[in-house]
Amino acid sequence: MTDSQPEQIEAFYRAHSRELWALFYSMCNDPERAHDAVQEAFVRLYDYHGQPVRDLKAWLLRVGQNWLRDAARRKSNSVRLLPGLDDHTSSSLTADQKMQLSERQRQIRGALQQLNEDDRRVLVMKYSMDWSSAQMATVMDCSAAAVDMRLSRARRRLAEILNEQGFCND
Amino acid sequence: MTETQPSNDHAGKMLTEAAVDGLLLDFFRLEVPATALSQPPTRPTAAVSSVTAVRPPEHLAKRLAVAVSLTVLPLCLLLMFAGDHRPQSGSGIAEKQNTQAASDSEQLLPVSSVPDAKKAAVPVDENGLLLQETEQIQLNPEK
Repeated sequence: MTDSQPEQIEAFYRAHSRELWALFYSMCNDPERAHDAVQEAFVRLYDYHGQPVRDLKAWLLRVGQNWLRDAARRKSNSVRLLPGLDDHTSSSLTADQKMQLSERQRQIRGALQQLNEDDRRVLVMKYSMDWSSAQMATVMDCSAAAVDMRLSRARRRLAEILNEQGFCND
Repeated sequence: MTETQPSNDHAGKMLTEAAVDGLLLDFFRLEVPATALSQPPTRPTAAVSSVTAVRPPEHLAKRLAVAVSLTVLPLCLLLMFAGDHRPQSGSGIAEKQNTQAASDSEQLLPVSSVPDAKKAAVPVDENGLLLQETEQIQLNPEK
């Protein structure tokens, strides 16, 4: 695909942006940065006029990955209060509750960061995209049984990390 | 073994694999920027492209200015360098000294005692007295 029509790109975005976000998220462990990587990859696709792209998803993944690597090098760690929460939480939550929720998200994010990338990826695909083991097996090039084993191991490891941190699941 | 065994004061609150399952569901429900991901990125608009359309002439003008500067500057430097260094070269100094000596000797000839055939043959007064004859003039006449 090259010189893609905006309609085609938008359709592809609707179909695959969440999956790309999950893959980027499993790499950077930052929801907003992963979202920025998705946006950046698609913006570059709009402007791309080079050789035809055979595997568009792989192309976008590579562009986003490179962008993430550059972003990590720049280390633009701006402080963001309650990242993403405003998109989801209603105004019925008090400021206190929002802070607690934010802290909880931060702790789990930190624990995910300590997993190895394969374990993190399998959890991200399972819980952010609600993929079946069979779907994940296709992406990860292994059997569904192997995916289930990896999922179970990743959850156990995450529980250990959170328990070590004294995470309180109220 | 699918559950973490309780082993300390937090035993009652220890997370199990099943609890982590629910925890992750809630976590990713908040973590995924669902609203943002439903909106494709906006392609550069006409306003943006009009800005970029203005840029090329600006860039050309800048490039032209730089090119002219880069061409003229070495020439200026070359001229300045040549101008500064011409009198300081060894042959230049010698030539200047020779020219000065020659002009000095020309100026001194009419009053010098050094014989010069060419100049000596020139009359130095209205009576036709030659320069070489002036040497024979006795300044202290005999009494």
